[in-house]
Amino acid sequence: MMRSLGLLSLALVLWNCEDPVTLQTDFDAPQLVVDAWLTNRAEPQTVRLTESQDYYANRLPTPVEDAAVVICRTAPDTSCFTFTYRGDGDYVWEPAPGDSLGAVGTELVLGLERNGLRYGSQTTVKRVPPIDSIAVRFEEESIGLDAGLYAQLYARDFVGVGDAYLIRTTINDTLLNRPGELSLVYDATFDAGSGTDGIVFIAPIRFSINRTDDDGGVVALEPGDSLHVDVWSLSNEAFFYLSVARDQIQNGSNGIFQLPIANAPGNVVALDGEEAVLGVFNVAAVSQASKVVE
Amino acid sequence: MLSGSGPRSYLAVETGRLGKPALRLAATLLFLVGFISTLGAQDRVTLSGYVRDASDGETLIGATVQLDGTTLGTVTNAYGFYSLTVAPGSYTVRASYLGYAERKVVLELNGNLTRDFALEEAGSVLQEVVVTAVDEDENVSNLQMSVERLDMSTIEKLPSLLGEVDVIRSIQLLPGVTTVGEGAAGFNVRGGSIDQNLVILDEAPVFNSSHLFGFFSVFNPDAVKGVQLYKGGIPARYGGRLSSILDVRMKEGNNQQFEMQGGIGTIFSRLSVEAPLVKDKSSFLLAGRRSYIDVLAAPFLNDNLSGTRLNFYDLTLKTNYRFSDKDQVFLSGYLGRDVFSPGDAAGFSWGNATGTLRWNHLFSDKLFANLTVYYSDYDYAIDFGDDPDEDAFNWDASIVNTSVKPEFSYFVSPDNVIRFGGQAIYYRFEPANAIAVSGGDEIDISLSRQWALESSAFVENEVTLWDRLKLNYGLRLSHFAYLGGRNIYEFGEAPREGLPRPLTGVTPTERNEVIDDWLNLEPRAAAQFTLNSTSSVKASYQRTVQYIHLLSNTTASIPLDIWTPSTNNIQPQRADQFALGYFRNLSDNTYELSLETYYKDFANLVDYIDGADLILNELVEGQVLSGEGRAYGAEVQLKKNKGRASGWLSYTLARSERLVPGINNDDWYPTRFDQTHNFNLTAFYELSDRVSLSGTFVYNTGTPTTLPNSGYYQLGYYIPNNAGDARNNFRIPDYHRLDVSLTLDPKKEKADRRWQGQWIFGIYNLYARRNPFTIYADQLDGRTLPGQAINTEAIKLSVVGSIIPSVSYNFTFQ
Repeated sequence: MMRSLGLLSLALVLWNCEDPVTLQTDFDAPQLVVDAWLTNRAEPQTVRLTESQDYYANRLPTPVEDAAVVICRTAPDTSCFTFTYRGDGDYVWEPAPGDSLGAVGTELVLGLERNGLRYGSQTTVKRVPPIDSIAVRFEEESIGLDAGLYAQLYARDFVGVGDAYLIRTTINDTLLNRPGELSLVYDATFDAGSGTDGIVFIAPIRFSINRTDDDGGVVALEPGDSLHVDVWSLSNEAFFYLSVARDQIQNGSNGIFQLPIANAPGNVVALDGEEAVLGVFNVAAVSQASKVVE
Repeated sequence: MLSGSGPRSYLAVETGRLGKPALRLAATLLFLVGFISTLGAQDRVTLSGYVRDASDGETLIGATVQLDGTTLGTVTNAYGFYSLTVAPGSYTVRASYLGYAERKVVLELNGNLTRDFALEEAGSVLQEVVVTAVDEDENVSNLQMSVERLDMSTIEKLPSLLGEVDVIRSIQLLPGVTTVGEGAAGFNVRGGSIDQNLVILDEAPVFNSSHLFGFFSVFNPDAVKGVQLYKGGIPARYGGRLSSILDVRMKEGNNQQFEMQGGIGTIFSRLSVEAPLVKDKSSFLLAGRRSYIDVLAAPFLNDNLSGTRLNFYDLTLKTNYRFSDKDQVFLSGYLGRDVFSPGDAAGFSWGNATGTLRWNHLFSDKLFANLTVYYSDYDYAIDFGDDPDEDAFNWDASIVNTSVKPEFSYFVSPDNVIRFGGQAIYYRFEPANAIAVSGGDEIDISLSRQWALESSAFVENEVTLWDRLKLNYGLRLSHFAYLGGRNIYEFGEAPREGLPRPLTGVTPTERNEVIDDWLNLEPRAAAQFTLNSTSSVKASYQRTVQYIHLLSNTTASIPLDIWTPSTNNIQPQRADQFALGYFRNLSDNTYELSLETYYKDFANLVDYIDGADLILNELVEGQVLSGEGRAYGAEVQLKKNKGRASGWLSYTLARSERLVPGINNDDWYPTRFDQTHNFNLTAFYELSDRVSLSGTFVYNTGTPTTLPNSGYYQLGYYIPNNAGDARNNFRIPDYHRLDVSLTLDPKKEKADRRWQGQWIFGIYNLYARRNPFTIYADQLDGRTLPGQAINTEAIKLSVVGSIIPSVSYNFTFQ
């Protein structure tokens, strides 16, 4: 809902001004970061381990190179997959042809060991609805939108409350990864608790597969553009994490209506001691669709 | 439990339930004070009546009526009524009100006498600005502490943003009242959050007191008589909020002659008409304002914004009828609305509507009664989507409350007033009536409604002992019933601190069944001890309980206010405040000095888990946390009331903190509106009888906010993180601002003309300081490719970034 409030800032732009300032933070010790957003597809799966840094460090993270990573299926059967280090903090498992981490409903645990300390997490592969279609249509000029061709993603949420998805779109090999392009779905709408269920993804979500420019404006497609959309299923923990993270990384555009700073709560915990670990372990089932604009 | 058939039947049972202990208490207290006061009473006579402005018949609130040569005197109540019971004899009676010429009459009081006073404005001399006192030594002699009164004549002289006279912004210049900055909602009183202020317009609560997201208040200055803010020592007759009562009283309307007022400003145009309906008996006032940003902006909006609507307006109506010396009826109404719609595909509007009917009745010269019935509705509506059958979203919400409030004042003697009364408020909360249409599927995502009944009874006794000690002590008994008619939810323990609590039970309830209820005693006491004719000390204690809560986690005024009653998951908030003050007048009452200290203790304050989703969330109660708070401080104010130069200087040293399990590692943290130092200088200077200058300078310590200290990568995004979980760990830079204005009144030789014009030239933020509203961490624009770092920066957001000049023209036509 906060997204719609961005519109309201329109009234205030007359006086608003934003100046960059230099801030000192009280950052002292880096924390372990687990970036384990995996899929159940038969392709290489990567767990990336890094360290957190000063917020204003403006650099790539320090990789964690000396860890051991394993993922085990605990239901319906038990089997383990060992991830091997490939550099840059990337620990990779390459499935044999036809193999995967598990079908929808599979329960999995993640185990990590570093400097003699153990960390763990668990998740379940959730269901994902098929994509009906990607429709490309000509849209008339309207608020914040130039006349042109735009794509919409048609998919219908499952009946039953609590289905969460992440939409990842690639246009001409460019992944839509701006903060404003992070597109989450919970029972066909933006957030949990709204009471929607089992309907077609709502219009702003259908529209979220279009790319944006530096100012957040939606850019029209050109004939020949190639779109590829993945819809990932999310566990409830992963959704809650990403919904808080989304509100935080998009907060800058909320102007005076900014939400308070909140830490996105991950699902990886230290098994020895109280150390705080950042990051999420989620294994997604995936629906895919592609379209070339004519 | 009750098999309920509508609120009325419930009300009867409820008042019966509540009434017994309350009545017993009231009767006991009444008996006690009655007994004491009759001890000295032999043959007594009562002088009573109203004090009014001679030119327009408006009653004067807080005017002094005194018997010369004695210490006996009283002040008029909120309806301009006074009553003095004294031994028979001949007295010189003096009625006075600052800014007005006083009137003296010699009266033979052999029996009860009704006598009204009509005071002339002191217009022939250089008109002094009425600062806050109504009588010269009121600062010292009045029992009340922690109360600020502003007359419209003062508020109108203050420099204002874009020349728009603003009640709410004016009170922010008073000690103990703070705000986070331009654009922030409401105001904070002595460490209390914004929902702890009860803003009442002619007794009816106004739930959202701002237009345009907090920039302008909803009160039309042409229709307001004055405001009174209780920061502490709140008498037992007020209740319902923890921190303050802002009592806004509307004018009754000129009952002597037709009068039209208006103005053309940068934001609004205003017009008001007032006139007698039956001279001396009945009058009305009708006042309206409308903004015209949209009209001015229209030529600059390009094609796809040309349908934009952005306006706000308000309408105020008041009328009264005096049936006799004993009965008078007032009817007032307010309707205000903001409309914002960037084209046809989206619309957003919100506003308050209130209606108040009051009946003043004199049972005798000594017993004044007022019965108030009000209705108040705050609602908002949002619509999206140009094709309602295909894709649309419609949401409307409202808070409606209706109330009955009888109050009695019994003027036993000049030294003793007993007040008693009660109130019942019936609430209906509709947090969302919402429909989402997606791809032709329609789904109802409305949230359950909530109902509640708040009832209270109070008795207070104001008494003067040994000429030197004044006391006002009282008791308020409040009761709140959370009523059924919806599903109620039960939640378990959160799996981990900071996560929503899981739903563990859903129970349907019958309409009007009592789901949960609370009964609270709220003792109140205030004392004033006169040291000598120019100085006094005052002390007060109050307990306040608040049963309805605003759920909001942004600082700015989002009109999507979500109010919730206390429920089985949200306890009523409670606060205790102690205050002690020293008051002294200097140089023949030219200067008033006051020094107050306070300590406030809060319980059951409402807070939220990190990342709480408060909007359109049926299970929002599972994300609410409860905590305690404390606020303490010292306020110094020096006022100059007389002479060409007048004004006030105030300084507040304060701290406001919260302790909420699950936040800030369970340690105390400063609130978002905590300001260590707060300094205000407000000055008025009469250059000539036509030209006056005014200026305000404000300075305060920057408010705290939370900023991330670390960041990390996840899924290719750079996620801010606040390692250590400290809340409000960073202070934004200090705030300071200077505003000035120049008022040009009509020439004196034209004073008898029917049309009187006035120009006001103002400059807001004279030295163009970019005061920060907040500082936030942001990512630089641009798309990063795999293997590239995401760059960040800190941004200081200033709502007002430059100097804002304004010109406005006001007129009066009689």
